[in-house]
Amino acid sequence: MKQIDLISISGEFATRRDCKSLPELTKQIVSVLEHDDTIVIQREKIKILSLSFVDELLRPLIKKYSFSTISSKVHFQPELEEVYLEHLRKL
Amino acid sequence: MEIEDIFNSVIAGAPLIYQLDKADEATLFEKFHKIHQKDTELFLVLTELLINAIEHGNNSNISIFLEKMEDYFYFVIKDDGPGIHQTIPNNKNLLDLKGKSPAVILRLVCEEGITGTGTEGRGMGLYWTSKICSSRGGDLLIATDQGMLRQRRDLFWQKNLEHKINGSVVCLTIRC
Repeated sequence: MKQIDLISISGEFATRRDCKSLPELTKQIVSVLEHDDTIVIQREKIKILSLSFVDELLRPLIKKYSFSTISSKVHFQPELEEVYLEHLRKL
Repeated sequence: MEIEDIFNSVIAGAPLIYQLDKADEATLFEKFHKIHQKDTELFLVLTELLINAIEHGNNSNISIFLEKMEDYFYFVIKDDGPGIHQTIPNNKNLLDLKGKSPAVILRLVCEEGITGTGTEGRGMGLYWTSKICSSRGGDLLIATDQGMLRQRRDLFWQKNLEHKINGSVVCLTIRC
């Protein structure tokens, strides 16, 4: 299981779709998925994790791997609240 | 207090009590958590409105008013970037906008995925705001220089602009 501290990638505000580090984060998640492993994204110190940021990160991955694969292999800690999941389920 | 009173005060030149503050994510975080710390859904919706303004406002000045008074939570966000009515025709997927009133177009952008870019996944800010207004019995005003729409719970109606505005203004009231 791989662990990533999101604050080291996005700073305290993981909000914008054009965040420069998003491609790097995507790359790490893809690498984990390709090895049939799981990843935990630590977001405890993050002040804002926006729906847009989560959408930009996970939308292409859900399209490629399916919602069930992403939800079983990509975990946030603390877990994403229902409002995020409601959005992701619809993708 | 009626949402239109706050809207008109803000647009007319804002008495001190309704003063808007220049805003970014840090301002929103600090202000919100001072008054309404645990409402994740509402906080995420307001964040989307702020991001919308940042992303679509072409570096415009963005300001917010955020306050809890009695049992109500009041939020105003204003930017002086290109308004919704200027950007929405750029969405090539929306072919039938011709002849539609400004209020009808504002109603349209409250639907999921309707944006000025047509890019998949965008357009979450006003959609989520309208949704939370509907599901939690809120009151919402959306205005640009061309028109204004009001939503109370899940009812929508057109309003006349009493003051000229630049850019876009969104006001939201929700019972705490």
